[in-house]
Amino acid sequence: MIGTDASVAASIRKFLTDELIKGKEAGEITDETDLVKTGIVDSINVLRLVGFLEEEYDIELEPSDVQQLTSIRNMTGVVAARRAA
Amino acid sequence: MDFALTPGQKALRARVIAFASERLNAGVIERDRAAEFPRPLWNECAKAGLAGLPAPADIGGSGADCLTTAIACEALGYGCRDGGLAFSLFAHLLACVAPIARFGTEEQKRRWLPGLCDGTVIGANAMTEPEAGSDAYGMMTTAVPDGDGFRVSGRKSFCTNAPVAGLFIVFAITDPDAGATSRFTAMLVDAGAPGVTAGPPVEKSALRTSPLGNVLLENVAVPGGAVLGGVGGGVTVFSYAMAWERICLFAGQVGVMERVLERAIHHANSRTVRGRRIGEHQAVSHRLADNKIRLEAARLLVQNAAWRMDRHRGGGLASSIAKAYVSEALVAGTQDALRTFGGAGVLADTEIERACRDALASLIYSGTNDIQREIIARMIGL
Repeated sequence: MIGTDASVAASIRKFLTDELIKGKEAGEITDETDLVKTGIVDSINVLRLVGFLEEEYDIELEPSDVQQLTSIRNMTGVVAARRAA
Repeated sequence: MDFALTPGQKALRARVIAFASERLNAGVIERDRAAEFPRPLWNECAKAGLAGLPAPADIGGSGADCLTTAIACEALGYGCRDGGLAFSLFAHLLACVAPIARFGTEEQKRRWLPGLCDGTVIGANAMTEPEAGSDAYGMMTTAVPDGDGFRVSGRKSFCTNAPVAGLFIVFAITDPDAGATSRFTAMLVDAGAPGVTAGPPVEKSALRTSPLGNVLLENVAVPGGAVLGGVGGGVTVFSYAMAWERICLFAGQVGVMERVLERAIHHANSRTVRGRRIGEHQAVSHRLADNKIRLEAARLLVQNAAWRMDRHRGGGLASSIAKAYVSEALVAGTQDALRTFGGAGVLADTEIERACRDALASLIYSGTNDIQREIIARMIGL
């Protein structure tokens, strides 16, 4: 799937809302919200995120990428960097 | 969708079955009784190319992808009746060689993979801890910065190959304040490094020829160059290793299922009571038919998971599904074989009782099935 950073961010937000937090408090999450500190990205959800991003954007994430999956903005940046590589 | 093996995969499968059947089974009952790890047979496995399948070909491996490795592991499980030896080899291959091949720097690969592939170094994955158990991420082992590297202290338990290992992949907390994405780090720790003490093999009922032990880490100096996957990259390294293990190790158990089912079918067709083959009784034949259904489903789940791993298509979830299903199918299959053999099934000579003992451990290792169901439930949005 090809998309702009904005559409990637929207897609990630939709995944977070639909799959990880199921609409709860979704409105409070900005692109900069630290999803690790808020407990949304925990040991299982980080794997779900990796699976989602790799499959959705046909990329392979490195350990350093996974460490950056802390906010929607950072995730969007990781996707952009991997697609450009 | 093409379920056919490539010519190369077919040849690999045939070669591994022939090697394992001819070379690895003599004396297995005695080894199991003595809980003896057969190091000479380990060396033969390495010579046959089985200790380094996913490692790059130019460093002594075969460069095999996950699916090809799974096919080789299934063949080994089918041909090798020494479940402990196969288990040790799988742990080395899948939770040590595979992550080094995937995440190692060129220097790390050159330092460790030749020995891991040629049999001179046995690998072990040191994650589980006494206080954490199934809550693997709740580990207590810590690594504090020291020069360009770390000082690591902690205790690891239920570590397959620990008593004979030359290399441990140790997981330790490097940032206690960080969350799931970067809390811990994987490190390549030489078993001979000062401060590393591997305990003796613990007594156990299953997989008795596979040495299992504890590891004590006392202020072990780990240079920066021994960090695998970068500082804070432990979650990626660990989840990758576990996915390979939950796929390929359980491919090995699919091989065990097929071998045990074939023996049960042979017994059902050759054992007669009052002039009738016991396989003529539906109580026996339907039970074995159920095991054929489970065998085929198990193989498809494993190969699907391996295919997904190779294409970054949800291999983690698929590996948990495969692990939970195969292990329970294996337990059912070995116990159904025991029922088919009747009283003979509990005799050491038939080797069915050992298959039953070994199978029970599969419900626990590589993450208990309770944990797999928790992972699957979370993965599907529960």
